[in-house]
Amino acid sequence: MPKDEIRSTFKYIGTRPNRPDGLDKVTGRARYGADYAASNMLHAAVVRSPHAHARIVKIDASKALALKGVKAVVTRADFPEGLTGETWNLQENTIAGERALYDGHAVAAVAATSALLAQDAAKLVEVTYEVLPHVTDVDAAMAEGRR
Amino acid sequence: MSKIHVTTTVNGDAVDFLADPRETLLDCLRDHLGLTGSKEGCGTGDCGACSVRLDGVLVSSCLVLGVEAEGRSIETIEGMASPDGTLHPLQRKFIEHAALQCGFCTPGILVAAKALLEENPDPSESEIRYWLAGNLCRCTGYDKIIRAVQDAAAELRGAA
Ligand code: FES
Ligand code: FES
Repeated sequence: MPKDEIRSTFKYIGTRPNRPDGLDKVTGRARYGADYAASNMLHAAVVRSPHAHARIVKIDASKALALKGVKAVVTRADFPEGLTGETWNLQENTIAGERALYDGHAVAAVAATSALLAQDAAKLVEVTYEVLPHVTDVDAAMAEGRR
Repeated sequence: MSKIHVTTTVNGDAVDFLADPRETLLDCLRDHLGLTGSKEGCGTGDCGACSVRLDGVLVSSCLVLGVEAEGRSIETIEGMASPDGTLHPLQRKFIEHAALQCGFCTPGILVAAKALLEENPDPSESEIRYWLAGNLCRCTGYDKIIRAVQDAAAELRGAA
């Protein structure tokens, strides 16, 4: 008998209750974040850095914003300044500021009336980068002069 | 981009929708038909969370264009239980064996497992593992899933 089949005299321990969310999950009825839709809902697409480390010289969202149905493009300039500690961390990792810190770092986000439109608009956001040297191990990252 | 009118059958019901030619079958099922049981785990054919059947063939719906559904017959997780709500043995065994946790992979795995049992009612453990190799589960681990499929197969064969 496998160990998880052992019955005991406890009320719950050793019993095999069915999970209460099981039925919804085996029928496809369970609702996850991406399963929700609301009227007038906007869809987002994120513009990400193609460089492991780069200075962000300029972000030009004018072509993206010119598309009908594109409602907003946000960049770090829309975020609060001067955060410290944990909050700083959250902010730096959420969206790149002066520099993109890793390949895939979010640089801008587009909100539009459909997912496809948001993706199209994201491709029209023009980001000018100045590529900086990157490090690939801990020792190099800790070396004098690195930040 | 102009949209294309698609007429198709989903879980036995006649449906139609307007699809952007770039939209995947998964997008169409979820966004145009409100059938959100099929999930997008990757969008690149790696995870199997979007598994559905197209004219009986198991496919990753994130790799099929929605317009390809024209005139075809699609089966999704929403069509697995009987209309009166009676669960398919696979669904019941997944609950009994606790073969799910977050449940995100579950619809895809159930659709894939059903396709397996229709083709091979008495699969060995390796055959089940190979068949479900295209369905990733990040929480439960595969052991309970395999046991649930074996148990459901036995019940369907009348052996349990
Ligand atoms: S979403 Fe289709 S295989 Fe992952
Ligand atoms: S139950 Fe969470 S991914 Fe399988």
